[in-house]
Amino acid sequence: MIRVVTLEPFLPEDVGAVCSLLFQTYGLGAEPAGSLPLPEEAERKRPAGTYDAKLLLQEAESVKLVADDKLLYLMKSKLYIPEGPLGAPPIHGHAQVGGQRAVVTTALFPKKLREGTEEFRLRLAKQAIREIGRTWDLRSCPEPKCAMHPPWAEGFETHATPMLCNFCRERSEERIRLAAT
Amino acid sequence: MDGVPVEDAISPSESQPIIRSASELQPGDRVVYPNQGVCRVRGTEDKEIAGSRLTFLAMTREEDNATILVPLAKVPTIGLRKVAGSVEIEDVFDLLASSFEDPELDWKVRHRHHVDLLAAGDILGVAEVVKALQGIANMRPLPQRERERYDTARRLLEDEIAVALGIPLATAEDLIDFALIPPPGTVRAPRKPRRLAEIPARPRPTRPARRAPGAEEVEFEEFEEGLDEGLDLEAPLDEELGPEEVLEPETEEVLEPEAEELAELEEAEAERPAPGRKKATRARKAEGETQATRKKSEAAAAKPTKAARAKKEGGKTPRASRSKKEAEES
Repeated sequence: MIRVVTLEPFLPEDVGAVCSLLFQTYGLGAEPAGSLPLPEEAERKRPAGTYDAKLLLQEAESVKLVADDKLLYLMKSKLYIPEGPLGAPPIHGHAQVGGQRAVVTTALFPKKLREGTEEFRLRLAKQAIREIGRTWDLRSCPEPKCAMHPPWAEGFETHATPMLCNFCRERSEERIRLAAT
Repeated sequence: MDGVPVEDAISPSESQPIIRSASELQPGDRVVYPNQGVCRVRGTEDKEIAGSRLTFLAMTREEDNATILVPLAKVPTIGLRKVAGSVEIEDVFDLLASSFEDPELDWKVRHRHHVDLLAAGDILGVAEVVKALQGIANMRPLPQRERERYDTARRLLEDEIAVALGIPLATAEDLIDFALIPPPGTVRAPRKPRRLAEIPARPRPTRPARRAPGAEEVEFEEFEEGLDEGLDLEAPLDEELGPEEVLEPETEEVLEPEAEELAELEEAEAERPAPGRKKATRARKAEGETQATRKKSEAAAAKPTKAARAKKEGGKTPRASRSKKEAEES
């Protein structure tokens, strides 16, 4: 089961649409699990209003989960990850690879996307599929049509339909089967 | 495995030398096993395998906590190395951010090259595989095999970068993606890694020597010495051939008829009138034919030589004409 928790206010229709698209992609039940506050421990002073992605997943409150459940947080504030040798990439979400928790933010969504629109829901769902996929140990995909493609790449925006490529779908099914057993 | 504590990150001064002996390792050390990924050393274990007692280096693969046992004697040969330092990590990102080169079009060559790079275990080699396959994927979807290899190489690279930099796996993945596929409008200075991965030479398959179990080895030098001493090299050749196929010296076969020919030709030259030459030739031919049939019946096994054939026919063989000229000159 995938449980979707909002850390900042979202339209219930948008959350419902994300749950529905997650179910279509992974074949697993997905349901809204309410709202929780943003963890203060993860907030960073510089730059203000950003949250450390790793800390947020560790410190955020949780809903009741059983084994193999996944927890997806939705938020609107910016996320922070440490810089690499080439700088910091634009962060649209973060996940515990092979773990249980993932977070998606709409902070870097294109401005033309407005809440309550179909495009916004598709984009949010595609991002959610990517982060939940990482919790099943799926890695980044070179196929632009796939939801596991990097979210800042051109292909991710061009192909709006949230779907996985054959390789990633098979991998996810395998992981889900193994987890269920 | 989701990241590593920052205090476990590798210091910049450390490089990634190949581990030559198991004594260099301590329990808790992190090493990279080619094609397996980052492992943590547990220590040594004794196990009885097929009746013999062996000591193994026990490691735990961090990706899935699988146990890996390597016989201590094999540790120097499997390419075990320490986790890459910051210098190597910078080289990796320089390589990932460099411009895409034209991909190798022959898939077999590409496959072998990538397999070699992954087997060598150098982090730059793994990055090279990721970069090359990403370049192909930018043009067309990857075939299944190459997609799997891309996934494997990505995992190996992400695991090592996460351990080396002390960051979560998801962050390492984002950093690699950022280097490989920059956001639209990103301008970067052209980058080039300081070095590329080296592929160790493939060991050539050795052909087992075909030798009788009790046979002694003959050194090449000894053989050369035998040459100097004037060994009869034809003897084994004769032994190999059948009794009927033994080669006879050519001189005996050829020279005798030649001498006879010479004498006959000299006589013929002396007696021959110019117009009756044809008649004499015919008569000699008839005589020769009768002689030849007799000879044939007498010695069926004897092989007729060219000179004999020429004699029978009464014609001139090149050798006969040559010998005639020589006789005239003398």
